[in-house]
Amino acid sequence: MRTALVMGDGPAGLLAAISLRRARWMTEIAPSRRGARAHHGHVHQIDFATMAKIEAVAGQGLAGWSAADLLRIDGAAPPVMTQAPIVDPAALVHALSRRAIELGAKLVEPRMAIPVEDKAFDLLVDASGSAVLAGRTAGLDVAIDESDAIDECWTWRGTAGSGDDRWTIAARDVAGAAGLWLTRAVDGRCMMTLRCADCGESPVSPFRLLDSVMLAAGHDWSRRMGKIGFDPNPVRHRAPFARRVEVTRSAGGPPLLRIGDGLIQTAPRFGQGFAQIAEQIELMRAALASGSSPASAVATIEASADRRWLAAMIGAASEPLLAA
Amino acid sequence: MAVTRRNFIAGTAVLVAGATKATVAFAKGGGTIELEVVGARRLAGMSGEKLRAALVKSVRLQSRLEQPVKMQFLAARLVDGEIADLFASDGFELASGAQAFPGDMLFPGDMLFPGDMFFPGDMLFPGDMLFPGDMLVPPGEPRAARGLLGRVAKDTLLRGGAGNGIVFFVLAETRAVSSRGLGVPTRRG
Ligand SMILES: Cc1cc2nc3c(=O)[nH]c(=O)nc-3n(C[C@H](O)[C@H](O)[C@H](O)COP(=O)(O)OP(=O)(O)OC[C@H]3O[C@@H](n4cnc5c(N)ncnc54)[C@H](O)[C@@H]3O)c2cc1C
Repeated sequence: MRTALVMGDGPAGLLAAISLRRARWMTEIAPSRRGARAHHGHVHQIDFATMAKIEAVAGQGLAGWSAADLLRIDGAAPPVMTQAPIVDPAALVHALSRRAIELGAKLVEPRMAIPVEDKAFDLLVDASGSAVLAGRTAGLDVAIDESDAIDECWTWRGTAGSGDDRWTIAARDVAGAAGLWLTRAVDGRCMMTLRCADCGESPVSPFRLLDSVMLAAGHDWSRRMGKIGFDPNPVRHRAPFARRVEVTRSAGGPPLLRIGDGLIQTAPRFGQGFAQIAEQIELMRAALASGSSPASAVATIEASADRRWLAAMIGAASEPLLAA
Repeated sequence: MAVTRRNFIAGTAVLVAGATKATVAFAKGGGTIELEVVGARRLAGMSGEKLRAALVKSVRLQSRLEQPVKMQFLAARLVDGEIADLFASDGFELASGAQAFPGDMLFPGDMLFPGDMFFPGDMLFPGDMLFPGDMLVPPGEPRAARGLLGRVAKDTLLRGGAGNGIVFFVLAETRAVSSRGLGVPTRRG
């Protein structure tokens, strides 16, 4: 039986481990040491199509997400109500972790570096979410490519009373905000994210934004928003519009497959991160199922990251043209 | 073990009917690259391999950037706002003031972006980014690359009196940067 070592216990690593187990690989998961940074804690939105892909891999009925009302406000046009998933990232990752273990993946000690020359493994999977682990590994050269264009947004966290009402409001061109996103999760926690290109060092007050959203949302939705209170200090997320990590190795050893944020990140991270992971996992599963070599899975996944990188860069390049 | 950090900028130019020169301007005073298409008129009506062959002969880039840069060149032909052909070059290096003939290495971009894999993740585009969680936009609305380039085509080409045209993209590597941390930096505002 072939053996794989998956480094990283975030969504990318766990979905990779589940896929490997389903393809009958012996699979070890080396989690992070305590305190290692994870991106998945920020996730609030995954679209239905991506959730369907995730459940196709991990099995139906995953905890950590549910469908909820979504109100779309597009400038002065009448708001439209529809449905969208709301995610509890910790619960979702926990559910994935349980599925991986139930399927027979084994948790092992954290790794300080990638064992690039360890012949005990037929495949190494780096799903550690960044270039740090690869950068610490002797025998690997790491290039981190970043777009000059920056993606910036601000998030306020707060509460919205008790009850299990869940919803999302997505708005654009409201209160001068190019884009705004307000979510109420099941336990009354709520979060408002503002994406703005020129907010400078501090954006407008969240309460002013909220007033404008209430006005635009109409009476019924204003009532649903009635009990919202925010911590007035937002978290600012500032990252290159696209980041692609390339790794080259000087020596042989088992193929190194990299997936998740440690391979490619593109804006808007909201809804995009899991979509990319689902795409990479699909490519990996197809390669495993076809019996082709793990190295070919590595090549197709790297190529998919190249396409995303290029697409993001072209998107960034097109902005001034569109603005003009 | 070596970690290199590279920073890339991207610029776009649209060749309006009748013009032979276009300037690719990079954001934030990033300098410009001049794009010249010799005998641009001849390109009208061409497609596929014929267009590729013509681009190979006619595209010239001149760097007005301060330092030598590594770049990649792409060309997309649009018909009524739809991408009909796409070509991409390999990476190459261009010195300040120097000329390059990226057409020499143009290959059909469909190899890069087969079928609907072209621009995976429709929501990658800044125009769409304005709507956080772009997947919230119903699929019928223009948002994908095709939609975006369609807008470019309509806004720019049509303004120039043409329904169709060629959009060029130039990706350039700038100086290495050392100040940004790994991962997505987050801080209290
Ligand atoms: C502000 C923000 C909001 C976002 N919102 C969304 C959203 O709404 N929807 C969406 O789809 N995406 C969103 N994303 C993107 C999404 O969070 C990421 O794409 C996704 O979490 C990437 O998963 P990953 O497993 O690659 O990395 P991570 O989630 O970062 O997981 C990597 C794991 O590896 C562990 N690790 C680190 N070092 C090591 C090591 N040496 N050995 C072993 N393990 C290690 C980490 O602790 C972590 O558990 C958002 C991102 C940000 C920053």
